[in-house]
Order: sequence, then structure tokens, then C-alpha cells
Amino acid sequence: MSNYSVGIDVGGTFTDVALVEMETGKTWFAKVPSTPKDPSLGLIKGLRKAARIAEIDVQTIGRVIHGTTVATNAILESKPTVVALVTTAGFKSVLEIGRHDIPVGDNYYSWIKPTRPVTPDLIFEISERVSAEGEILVPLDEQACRTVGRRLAALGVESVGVCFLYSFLRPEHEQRAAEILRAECPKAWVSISSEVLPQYREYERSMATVLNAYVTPHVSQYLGALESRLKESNLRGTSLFIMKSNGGVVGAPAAARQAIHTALSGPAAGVIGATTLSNEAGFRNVITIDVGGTSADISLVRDGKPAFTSEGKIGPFPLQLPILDIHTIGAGGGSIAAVNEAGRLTVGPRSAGAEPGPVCYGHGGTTPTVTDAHLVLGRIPPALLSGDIPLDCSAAERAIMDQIAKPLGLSLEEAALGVLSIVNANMVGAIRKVSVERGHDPRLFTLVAFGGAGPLHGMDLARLLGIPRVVVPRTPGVLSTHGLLNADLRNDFVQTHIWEGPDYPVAEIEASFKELEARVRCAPEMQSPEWDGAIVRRTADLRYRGQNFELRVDVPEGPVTPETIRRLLDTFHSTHEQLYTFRLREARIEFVNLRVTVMAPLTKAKPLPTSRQAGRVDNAFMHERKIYFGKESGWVPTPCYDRSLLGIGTKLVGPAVVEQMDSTAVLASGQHAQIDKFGNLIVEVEPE
Amino acid sequence: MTEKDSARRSIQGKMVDPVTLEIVNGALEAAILEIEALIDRTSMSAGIKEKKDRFVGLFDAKGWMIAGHLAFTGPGLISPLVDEYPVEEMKPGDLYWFNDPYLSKGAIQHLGDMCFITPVFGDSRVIAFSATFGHFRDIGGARPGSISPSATEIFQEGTRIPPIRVVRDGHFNDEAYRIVLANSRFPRELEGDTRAMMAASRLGETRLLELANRYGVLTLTTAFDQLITSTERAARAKLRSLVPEGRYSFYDYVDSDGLGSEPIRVAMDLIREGDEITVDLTGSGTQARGPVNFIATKGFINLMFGRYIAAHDPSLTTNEGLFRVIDRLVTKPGTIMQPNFPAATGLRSHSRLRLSSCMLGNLGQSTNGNASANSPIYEIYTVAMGDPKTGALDVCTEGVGAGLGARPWSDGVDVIYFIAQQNFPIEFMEREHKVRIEQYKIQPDSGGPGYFRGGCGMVRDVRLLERGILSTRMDNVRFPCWGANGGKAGRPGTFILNPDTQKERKLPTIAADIQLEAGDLLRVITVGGGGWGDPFTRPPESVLRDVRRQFVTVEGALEDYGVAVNPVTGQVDEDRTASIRSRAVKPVCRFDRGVATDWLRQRGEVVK
Repeated sequence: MSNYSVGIDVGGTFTDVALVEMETGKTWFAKVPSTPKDPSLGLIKGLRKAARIAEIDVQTIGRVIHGTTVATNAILESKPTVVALVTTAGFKSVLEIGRHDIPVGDNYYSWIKPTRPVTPDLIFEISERVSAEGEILVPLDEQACRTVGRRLAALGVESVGVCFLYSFLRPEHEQRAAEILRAECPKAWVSISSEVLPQYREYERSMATVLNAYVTPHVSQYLGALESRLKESNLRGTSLFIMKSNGGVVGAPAAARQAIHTALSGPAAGVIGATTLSNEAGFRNVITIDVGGTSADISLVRDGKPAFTSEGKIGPFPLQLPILDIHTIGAGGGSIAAVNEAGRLTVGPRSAGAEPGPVCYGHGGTTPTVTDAHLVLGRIPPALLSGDIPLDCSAAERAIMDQIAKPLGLSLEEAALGVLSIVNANMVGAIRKVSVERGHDPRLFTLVAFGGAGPLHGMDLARLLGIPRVVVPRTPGVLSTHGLLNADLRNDFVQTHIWEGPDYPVAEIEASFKELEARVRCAPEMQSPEWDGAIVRRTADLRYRGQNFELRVDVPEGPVTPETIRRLLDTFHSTHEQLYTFRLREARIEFVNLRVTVMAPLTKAKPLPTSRQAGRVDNAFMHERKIYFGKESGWVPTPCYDRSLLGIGTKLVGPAVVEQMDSTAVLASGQHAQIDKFGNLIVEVEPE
Repeated sequence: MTEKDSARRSIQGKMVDPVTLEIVNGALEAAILEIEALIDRTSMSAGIKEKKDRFVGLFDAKGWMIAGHLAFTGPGLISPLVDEYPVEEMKPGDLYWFNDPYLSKGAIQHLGDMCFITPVFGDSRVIAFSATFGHFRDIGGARPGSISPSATEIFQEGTRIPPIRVVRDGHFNDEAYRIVLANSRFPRELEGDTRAMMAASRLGETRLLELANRYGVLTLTTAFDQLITSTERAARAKLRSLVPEGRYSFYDYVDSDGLGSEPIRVAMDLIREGDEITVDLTGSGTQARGPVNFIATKGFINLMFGRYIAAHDPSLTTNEGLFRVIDRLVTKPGTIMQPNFPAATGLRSHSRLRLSSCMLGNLGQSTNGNASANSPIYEIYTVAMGDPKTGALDVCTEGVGAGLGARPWSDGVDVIYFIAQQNFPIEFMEREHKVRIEQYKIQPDSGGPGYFRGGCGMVRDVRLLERGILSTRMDNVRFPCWGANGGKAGRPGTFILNPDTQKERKLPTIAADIQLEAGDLLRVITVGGGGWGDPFTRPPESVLRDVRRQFVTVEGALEDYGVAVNPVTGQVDEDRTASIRSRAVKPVCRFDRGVATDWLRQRGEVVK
């Protein structure tokens, strides 16, 4: 049994590391700059730094759990990759034509269609055809597969996706074609749609398949390189796990086989971190907001469980895999504020990013950002990361004065406050999206505000939404690593089956679930010992006959019986009413997909014993700084406290600022807060 | 400082501060997205749920649009309602319904579009309206699917609903509702759609009430005014920068009225005198016997120009301000642009698209060539089939995409269905209807050649598994999408029955009641958009890329672009290309009318 586990989240700017001693729960943190060209370099550096701080030998690290952006970046940056698609004869343009629409909100006269991950010259047709009922109409032309395979090899194709019509009903043709392609073109990775997303709608399934094909070489090459680097660094006995978009982890070889499932690895780690922490702290219904430099990720947790969706997107493309329901908006510290041609003030979604960054960083940024507004109002200290990064306040003031205040006829303070009000309103809109718009009242939730900039906005957001309480985690800047260290193994499987009521084939439904579960047991990614004793959960996607969107409903445990079906239908009606305000009693209900989720727990570190000693706020007092909260109060002298010296049980009252290495929390006048026994800052917020 | 304090203080100066204004604007946009999502998730007509033929708009008490995405409707939706039901008599909990083009003075363009409106109350008076609108599959009428190329009166196109109060004070008027349901061939689907639309309209009310609560009615309504004024100012200035003083004229023709008529002329004069801009459509042809009539309104003309301007300035917020760029509209009763009741209007988009053609043609002249080439109307086919086992009627209506016109800065988009509407997945079509799709691909060489290429159309092969009755609907065949500034016209499309067999037959491109047998194959080939700029100056590497990606054939590259591609090596033959291109004659016409050129010349039309 190894003594230590490490969670490593590689973000765009920083690589965050948490190292935990399994026996005691004692945790050390390290933060190093990311190395985008080869993220494994920064990862190893961070790992060594954490080991140094903890004064341990890296050989004693048993497990590394990793959140990565390799897949996402490959797609968003269009990394050069030679990817091909093999599809049913007659349908090569499915991917190119897509859903033949212009996205809502884009203009008919100016829209430009995004280039697909596979261009038409690398799409090959094979004669074969299955009917809508699953009969084989045209057998697979194996000779044509061999010819295409040789052509792919000659073209130097790195990865190929195979998507045939109705393969979710009859996967044989795809499976056989994949065998032949592997034989003829052994250097290429092969992804088949009946494994990636066995669900109806050929464009969306093709897209998921080619996206998987596209990222597979990048992810597997990266994971290969990472494993050898870990070995070189004397971490021989370490097992490497990767966080997936569904909030679960799998071993590195399995992750390489389902590469596209890592697309939301980083944000998912944050949600799992926030969920674990709030469950520990006793809050089962929370909204999580992770505010970074360029974006804010928002999700909703109910009854201790995060919400899922299968209607995700990556860049401009649909990605209908089951993923944590994380709503991302372009609002963060680097979001740019500007007055547009119509004379209106806008903030984001454009971002100054890490380079050149906000004006106050002095790296050449000239357009004012949210961070500049915070600095001008005194909300963040004049130097970040415990004094490592000095900030240029007068440059930030000049930028806001010239570009915002003067054109709008506002004072400097009003302009800066306006920038914050607008970015807050954008975040409020995003929080409403995951709560109000899904039938949940945010006033019944607790807000977990994290990420470097989360605690700067959390209390204002709570006030605007009527959320009574904000949890600022002990380490808000590295909460994702907490998620990595507390994740379990998880795989999700789906299969389209369409059955219409009122007489459902109960036995067939049970048999189909069993068949899907058997497929799960045989899946290559399930063949490692950690999966022993896994828990299996069933869900089903239902809709009113005639509708186009399904709702996911939990299937009660045990074999499917008429009673199970009745309960499923009841849950469906009431969920529909909760989400959309009405139910259709007369309409028939249709099954569309069956889903199976398999989870296996990973051993966790023992929780840190909690201290009962009550802290005194005076011990943590550093100095006073003037902060501008609004026109009535003007500039208010505000005490600033050192978070690391705020002991368990310490109470404080706003106005106050709580500073730590990579994050600052601002409490408005009259807001009460206390440090809970886990070290979280719990702030009570009065609605406005 | 709270939002209310800040807002209250600035309201004393009769202006909402810029921060509150932006927050209100963001909340309105979020509400629109949320309402649209509700419709998409709960509606049942394939045309709404998959194709997204629907519209959501929030309006102020004056009936001015304060938020919505640009569709081809919106302006004037509230006025038919308040003419029938005075605002003072409305109550919270009311919900209104109508669909009639004539009774709505053209705000609704054809009967299939059902509109639901909820008044929103603040301080005990109406402060806004929330409107939703969707195109329903079947609302009765002479033929399945309600819309048909053979209709000669609006009575044949479905049930006419004048503005009615379907919910009074929270009580649902079941009697009126049942009459409408009883007139549909698919009452259950119609019920799903109406419930979705009404829930969506109510959701708009809820969101507006929340805003009124948060900011107060005075602040909110002042913010509406300011948003509209700010868009109006920027949009008017933008259009005037594109249209110098003077008179510009353009014309185009609708192929046919659906009953085999001769082409029908659509003509537009665009006149700028000082700051005032007038659109004059009086030169348009006599109203059609078939359903291609369009009730042109000043609101629609503004919407059309507004959309074009918004493409050039993404900072413009969509609201009534965009609909104030044209000051005057002149039409003549009895023409295709102002038909007399009860002329049919089901296929009004055929003439409506020729109006945008005229707008682009006029802007092309006023900007000295700096406007897009023309884009086509979408194409639709409908097959009514019976299920042999149950005898139940099945109406399969499918819209297919066509290529858009090239822009002065980019190629046209390939295979797009109008604005934001989606196709049906093959795996959906074959489950819902007795058809098998055997091919779906880009039609090479269909995009108008140009320095920027017009978008390509597509080919869709549909095999009928049961006998059925077909109606076809395609325009831009006799009058293709013209090319601009030396660019060539897009290629026309066609409907072919049983291609490459003994039974091959070319079908009329707009007609009803075509009998098809089980096993027949219908091939739909759609039209391409116009090209922009001289195709012989398009960089050979762009032409080669199009050849490799099969948007252009090797033959097309040679003939249309003067680029010789060696089919064996797959490379450009540079010497041959240079020699062909050096001998080419420069285009002289600003607008290339393609296959219509001869017909126009014979008629003595000026071809510019």
C-alpha cells in the first residue's frame, strides 16, 4: 500500500498539484506555470515541487489522478491531425452538411460555416446498408474496406472514424470494417460510432466519432509520454488515472481508448471537488461557480449529486456524450470591458487571456478587464500571489477612465463598478440557466464560489439571486485537485431502443438492459481489477411521442416489472411539468435510450482530524485598505485578513477582505461569516 | 448600492444608467433563449421541433419589439390584437391566439404560422407582451399539410383564426380550442404544439414580471425605449452610409404561381431623398392566382433591410430600432406585393425571397458592387401516404437546403435551409415515414462561379415504400440566383423521378397532386447561390481545393474558372491555366442572370 496520492489539474495558465497522505489526510499544495507545448513537463515539475514541500520521496506516491485539457485544446486549436471518416455509400456529405442550419443568433448574411474536423476529401464511402428496423439491406463490401484501408495507409492517415447508418441497431458492419481497416492501415487509430455513441441521429453520431478520432492520437500520445516521464522520475509503481467529462476517472489506457470522454476533464474535476466539499460540510443542494481568467463554469448539485446532460457542445460542434451539466460563459478576470459602437457598455466574452492579460499586469495589455476594475476599486491587493506579481494600479485607472468612464460620462469608480455589475449580471444569467430554467429555485441552494476569482464575485451573486449562503473553500484556487483526489471510477453506456406505450414490452426492456449490462462487462475499458465490485445503475430517456427531446429518468432497482414502468412514467410526467410547466396526460410516452452507469469507488485519504480551537480574528489582521463599495458608502477603510491565520470557528463581519495566495474574498458591509470545522469560510448573505 | 437605488436615481433624469441598461438587455436575451429552448423541447410538429420554424418576441406596451432573434416575422405582431381587444380590457392571465394574414394586416404571412400572445402587467396596466409563433404541420384546408401550390384562395389553406382570447383571466376557452383541433388532420400533434406555444408565451410573461419586480416598471420601460433608440440611431446611420442620395431600381421574377403561370415580376425602387428612404414596389406584377402572393408591410421591409445591416454591425441589438431604417413603403393593391383578399399566400416566400433579391440588387448598385450575390428560397417536397395496415394518413414534408449567395468577402454557405432551421436526420425520416433515403450529398458545380463561389446545393434521393401523392416546391429554376460584380448565377435545381431508369421523368418544380407508386425514387437537386467577382481571377489553389472536396468538378474548374486540373496527378496545370485565363473576356454585366438572360432580353428587359 502506497502512502501518498496526488491530484494534478493542468489548466491554461497554472498547473495545480495536491499531494495527500492517505493515512492522515494531510495535504500539501503546489502551483507552477503550465507548459502548453508539452503539458507533462509542467506536471512533473509541479509534482516534484509538491513532494519537496511535503518532504517525501516521489517513489512513495501510489496514485496520480489527472485533469487534462489535451483533448479540448486539440479541437479548439485545430491541431494538425490527418483524420479520415468511413461511412455508408451515398452519405459522405452528412458531416459537411450537418443540420443545414445557421446557429440561432448568427446572421444569414455574415455567418461562415466552421471547417469540420474531417474535410470531404478524406471521407470514404463503403457499400453497406441497414434499415430503420435493423435488417441488413446491403451486406458490407469487405473488398472496398480493404481498398480504403490501403488508401488510408498511403495517405498517412493518423486516425479514422467509422460511422454507418443505424449502427446503433446493428454494429456488426462497423466492427468488421474496423477489423479490416486495422489490418490494412495498422498505424491509424480506429474509432467506431457504435462504441463512441450508439444513439440515433447520424450527424451527431458522426461528429462524436470523428471528434474521438481527432483527439485520440493527441490524448494517447500525451498519456504515453506522461507515463514514461513518470517512470523516468522514479514513479515506477504509480498508477495513472484520468478525469473524464462525466466526473469519474478511469485508468490511463482506458482513457486513451475513449479519448473524447476527457474533453471536459478539468471543469469536471472542479465540480466533483465542490460536490465533495459541500457534502462534507453538510450542504446537499449547491450551485457551484468556478471563475478563472477567461471563463466561469457553473453547475448544479441536488441531493449531493451533480446534474448530467447529453446535449453538450465543444467549440461549434455538438457532443452528445453523457457529461456533467456544466454551463460555461466567457466571464472571468481577463474579460474585456468596452463601449461598443452603439454607445453601450459590454463585458466579455472576449478575454485578454494570460497574455497580454489585464492592463495592471503590465504585460502589454491595453484594454481594461474585470481584474483591472477590481484593482481600481481596491478589491484585490496591489500585488498577487503573496507579493510575487506586483500590479500597476495607475495604468488600470487610466484604461478604465479613458475607455469606459469618459465615453459614458461616468466617474472612474462608477465605471469600474459598472464593469463588475455587468460581469456579475452575466454570471447571474448563467446561474439562472442551470437553476431557474431547470425548475430549481436558487434561493433554496448554497453557492460554492471557487477558482481564483470566484470568491471576489460569490457574495454579490448570492445577493442578486437571493441565495442565502456562500461557501468559500479553504483552497479556492486549487479545488479541482480536491475533486481529483475524491473521484470514483465511472463509465456510462447508452443504447437506443424505441418503444411506444401504452403496452410496453416489459420482458424485452428487462432483456435489453441485461444485454447492455453484459456489453459493459465485456468492454475493454472495464477489464482492470479496480472495477471489481462495481455498482451498476440504470436510467432511461423518455419523451412524449412526437417530441424531439428526451428527459432522463432513474429506473428503480431490481428487474423491470409493470410496476417499474408505472413509476417511470409518473416520474416522467412530473419531471416534464417541473421543467416545462405542463404535462400531457393523453399523450403516449416513448422510450428512446437505455443507459447504464457503472461506478467503483477508489480508496480515499482519511479525513483530516478537525480542530476545535476557536480562532480570534485579530490574529489574522494584516492591514486596512480603502475599498469602494458604492456611491452611498464611498471609499470604506476595510480590514484585510490573512486566510491562513483564520482558525476554525473564527467569526468575522464585513466589510472585510480575506486574502490568500491565489484568491481574495470580499465581504460587503454587514455580511457575517465563520470558518467551519473543515476550514471553509461560510458567508451568510442577506438578499437585497 | 442596490440595482433599484441606482435605477431610481438615474430615472429622475429620464435615463436609465448604462449599466442597468446592459443588464436589462442581457436578461431579455437570456429570456428569449430560454423560451426558444422550451419550444424546441416540447413541441411536436417536425417543422418546429427539428426544423425550428418558430419565433419568439418580447414587445413593449406600444407593440414595439424589445427583444427577439431575427426571423422573418416580428414587426407589427401586436397591433392586430389590440385592434380587436382594447388594452384597457385585458386582464392578467389572458392569452390570445391568431394566424390570419389578412386580419393581422400582413404581420402573419401565411395561415400555418400560429401566434400566441400574453399581455404582461405591471402597476395594474399592460407594460409588455410576450409572443410565440410556430409553423404547425396541419391546420386543415384542401390538402394534407395545409399549404399547397394549387391553392387559389386562403380558405383552402387551413383554418383561419382571427385574434381570439383563448385564455381569459386564467380560464382556458376549451370550446374554441376544440374547434381548431377538430379541423386538423393531426389533432394530437396540434395539441402538443399549442400547449408548447402557450407555455412558452407564459414563460416570457414570467421573465418580464421578474424584471419589472427587480427594477420597477418605470425603469424597465425607460430601458426598453433607450435600447430601441440606441439601435435605431446606429441602424439608420448604417443604412444611410450604404445608400447615397438617388434612386435605384431592381427587378426579379418568381418562376411561376404554382398553377403553371408565366413568371411574375417583383420590382423595387429604393429612393433616398435627404435623410428619408422610400421603398416603392408598385412596379411589381399583378397578384397571382396561385399561393405565391405576399402582403408586403413596412415592418417587413424594415426587417429585411435591418437584417442586412445587422450582419455588418454585430453590436446592434435586435429590436424595433432595426425596423425604423426605411421611412416609407409604397405598394399597389391587386399586385403580388399587395394582393386583394382572399388571395392565397401559402407559398409567400417565393415572392418574399425575390424582394430580398431586389434589396441586394439595389444595395449592389448603391455601394458600387459591395453587396452579396443573390440567395435562393428553400425547397420543400411533401408526400401524402396512407399506412396500408391502419389506413392512417402520413404526411411527409421535408425542407431541403440550397446554396447561399457569395459575399464580397467570402464564399457563400453550402446547403443551408434559410436562416436557422434544421434538416431531418435520415434516421428520423425513415422511422417516421414510409420512405428510404438513398443518397444525401453536395451537388458539385451548383454554386455560382465567382472570385468568391456561391454556396452549393444538394442531392437527396428519396425512395417511396408506399404509393403517395407528391407536391413539389422549388423556385430559382427559370430565374436562378444572380451573380454579382462579374460573378456568375447559381445553377438551377430540379425534381427527377426514377433517374437513370427507363421510367425517368422530369417533374414540374412547383406543382401539386403528382401520383407516385411504391418503389418510385424521387431525386431532389437543389439550387446554388450566386457567385461574386470574376471567377477567372479566383486563386487556382482555391479552385483546386474545391475540386478535391468535390464542390467543383474537374470539368467545372476548367469551364467556370479557367483552371486546368490534371485528373491523374490531381494538381493544377499552371501553364495551361495561365494561357486559358489570359484569353478570357472580362465580364461586363454587374449582374449575371444565368439561364434567364435570354428570356429577359427577348422581353426587352434591361440586363445590367
